Amino acid sequence: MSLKDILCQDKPISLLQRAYAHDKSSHAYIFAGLEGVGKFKTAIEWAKLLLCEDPVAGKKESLHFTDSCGACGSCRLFDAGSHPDFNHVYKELREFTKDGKGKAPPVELPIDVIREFLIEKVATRPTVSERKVFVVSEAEKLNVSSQNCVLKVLEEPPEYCCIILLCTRLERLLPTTKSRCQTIRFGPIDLERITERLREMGTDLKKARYFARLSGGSLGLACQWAELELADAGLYALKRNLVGSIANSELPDALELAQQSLDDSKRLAAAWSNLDKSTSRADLNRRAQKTLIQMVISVLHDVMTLDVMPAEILFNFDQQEQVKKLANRLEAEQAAEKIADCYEMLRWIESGVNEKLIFEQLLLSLSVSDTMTPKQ
Amino acid sequence: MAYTVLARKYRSQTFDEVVGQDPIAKTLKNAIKTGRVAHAYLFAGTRGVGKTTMARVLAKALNCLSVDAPTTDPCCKCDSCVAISAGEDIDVVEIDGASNRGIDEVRELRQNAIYRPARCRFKIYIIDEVHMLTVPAFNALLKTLEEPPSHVKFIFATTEPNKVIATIQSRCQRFDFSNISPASIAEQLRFILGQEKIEYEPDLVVPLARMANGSMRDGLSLLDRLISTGVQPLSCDLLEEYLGRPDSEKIHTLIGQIGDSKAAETLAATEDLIRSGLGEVQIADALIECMRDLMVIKSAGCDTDLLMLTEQQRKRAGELAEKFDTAALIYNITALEKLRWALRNSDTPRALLDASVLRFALSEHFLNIDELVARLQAGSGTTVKKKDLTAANSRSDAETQGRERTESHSARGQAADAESQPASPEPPAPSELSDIESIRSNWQRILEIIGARLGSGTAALLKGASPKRFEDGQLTLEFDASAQIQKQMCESNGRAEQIQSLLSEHSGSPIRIRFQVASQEQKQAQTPTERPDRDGFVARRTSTQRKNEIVSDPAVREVLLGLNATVTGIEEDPAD
Repeated sequence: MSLKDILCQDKPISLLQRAYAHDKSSHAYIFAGLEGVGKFKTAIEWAKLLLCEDPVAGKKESLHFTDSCGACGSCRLFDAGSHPDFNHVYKELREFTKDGKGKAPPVELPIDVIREFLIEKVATRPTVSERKVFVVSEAEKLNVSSQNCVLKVLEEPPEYCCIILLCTRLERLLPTTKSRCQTIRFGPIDLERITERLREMGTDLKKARYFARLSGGSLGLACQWAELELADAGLYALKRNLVGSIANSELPDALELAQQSLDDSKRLAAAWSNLDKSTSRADLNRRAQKTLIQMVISVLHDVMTLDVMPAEILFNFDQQEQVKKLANRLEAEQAAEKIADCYEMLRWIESGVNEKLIFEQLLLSLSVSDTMTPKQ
Repeated sequence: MAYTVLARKYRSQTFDEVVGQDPIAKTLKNAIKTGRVAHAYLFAGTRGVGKTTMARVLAKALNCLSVDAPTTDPCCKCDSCVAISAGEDIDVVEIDGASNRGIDEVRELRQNAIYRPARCRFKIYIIDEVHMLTVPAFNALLKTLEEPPSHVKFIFATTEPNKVIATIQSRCQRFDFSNISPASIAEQLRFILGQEKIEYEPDLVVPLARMANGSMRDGLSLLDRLISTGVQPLSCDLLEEYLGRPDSEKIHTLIGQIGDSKAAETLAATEDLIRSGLGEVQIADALIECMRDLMVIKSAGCDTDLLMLTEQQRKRAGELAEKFDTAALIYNITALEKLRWALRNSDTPRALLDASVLRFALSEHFLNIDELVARLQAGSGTTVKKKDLTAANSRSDAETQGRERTESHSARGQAADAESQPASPEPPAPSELSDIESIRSNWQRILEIIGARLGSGTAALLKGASPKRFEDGQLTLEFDASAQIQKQMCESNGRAEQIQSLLSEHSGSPIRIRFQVASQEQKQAQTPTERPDRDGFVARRTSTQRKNEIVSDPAVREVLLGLNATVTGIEEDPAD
């Protein structure tokens, strides 16, 4: 595995490569982009290249393309996951800080971790290579004090340092943090490529296509769903059900449907926790709920675009009848409003509002508008 | 070995070099010249406007070893100046306030402050990001800050002066660094490009300076990114390709489609923008900026100086502006601003953006007020009358609705009482409350009054009670032995006082109320006439199953919950 094996992120990688070729790579980068588009992979490979003792210079499409050699001591150490000059900083490290023993895994990236695993380590010189690379995962979870804490280090780190912040939401970072780093955007991955990948994993074409579209270009997310589906969690069946019942729902059924969706999301989270042991249960619960709401959004989006887009590119291309049925009751503009509502719900999920209330509110609002404002 | 970014490489070294902060530089220079340098300064301003730079320059000016006294032109060559520029001088202690923010660090600082500087005139503490100091840390600093030893100077720098407590602020001279104007940034960018010997298109600098948003460091970071692409000469296309600046032509297309209310094309244009690698927030920002331009054109005409656009863009914007009116633009900008916030807070904001853009396209365009007035005048009285009429109609509608609501409300009350009652029964004459007999015979009416005044919940509670004695203004109400809970509820929440005052008001003389629970024997002795709802109790006792059934009925449960009521008896309408 090296830089050239990373899919679909040619633009950011070429940016890095150009900087490397001109010896102008910055000391601090922010890799920004959706979850699961290859930020971490790129960061790892970039680190490997920076640390490599004998980089291989080459050409790729008439551009300079340097890559790690994969054979030197540094590269071998790196591949073994024990390179002393590569530091990965993530929130779960809190357990290993001085007074973090036995504490529950944090929601935010705490200042202790930053202090002990970034700032203190920046000060010591590299041991094997000429550089030292720090990769901070989930930088959007840096709270305000943690961010302020890294400011000075980000602005003027020792010359041997390179710090990479991986961030899904650039907006969560303070402007003063952003202005100290070079931001590199990672775009969404081509949907065809995701579908292909899911097919390789053994998913049906129909399902693969749906998950790819729902993921909006996040390979990681699509893979998670596909894994879930392969583990017989019934995600796809659930989606078919949900779309069907939304299309046919009437006010009296809304509460029942909400309860059902809630149960579904719990079941989903349980299935997920079997696959993904490292993430906390609360996070998985939230992720499952978000998945459900994203499905609702996808239906509404279909309703909105039904008249103006070809039917083949709908999210729910396999349930066009249901979408049409819903479109008979909802005008495009109403659907647009509902989508805005759904986003509000997504935000609520993150702020920890009671999930039952969220689903009830969501489904009630969907069915109420159906009965109250029929299309003329 | 490693490349130093431009923002560090070209950090200003003297007062005159600091860009865009001339008033502050001048003030500080004058202070040095006249020997009136304060012992504590607070530099506030947004990111990258020169706070830390100015702090270092000031430190150098005070401590430069090439002259005997503080100077306005530090030499930048002596040991002290060089060390300060690198941030590692022994007498100029640069502290990262954000990571050394506790009281312990401040105590250490205080202890060291009493020692004289090693080689220079002053011992200078620069505390960067000072807003992150904890409150105890700030307070520990207060005394030292008010009257430091003569050899100590403090310089604080912060982006958030509001977080610095007032007692600190009042001990410092505060300088607010303004945002740097695009023109100054552009000038500095040109200078640096010249120094770095990099070729560039002249048109590149101004948009780049605008993107920097008032911060020199942002501008230089952007320039760094452009330079690191290795393309020479730097051209405007790079801005769009590498810095994610939205293609203005595409944005204009999108706005044009919105203006023409074309739904499908609007979505296609959005898709096009996203394909080009833009984030949703950036698109919203670009739309806001462009709508702002249109708004300015609408209100100030096409040739206004308020716009920074090329001739061609101006022409295009002028055409676009024709499609909107000011009210619609203002509405759209507000909506976009709100949307922007929502977009920021979402992982997958694509659908939301689509939704909003589509709404803009589909929403009816605002009617110009002039047009509306003209139409009203032309349509003469009839339209106005019609409008009045509809207004009146809607009002009466609202009234009916209101009445219906109160009716349905009281219907709920009745469900609890299991018996109908007029909305406001006549108050009983004072004589009705004079002795126990009259109270008993009027008890039903009294209950109605209580129900009307204190809520049917209270009345329902009292239904389980019957008047027992009335002596010396004290009314004793007796509850059935099984109605212990009702009695307690009557006594709690000030209900007893409310009932008392209500009854006193009606009888004209003060009445106290006592509640008691009947003992078993008394109850057996009671005659059916004394207990009007006795049948209900019997029925309930004989069929607890029936009671459970009714209580578990959702409608009943709703009523009970909503009114804080309990079921005292169940009567079935024989007609049912």
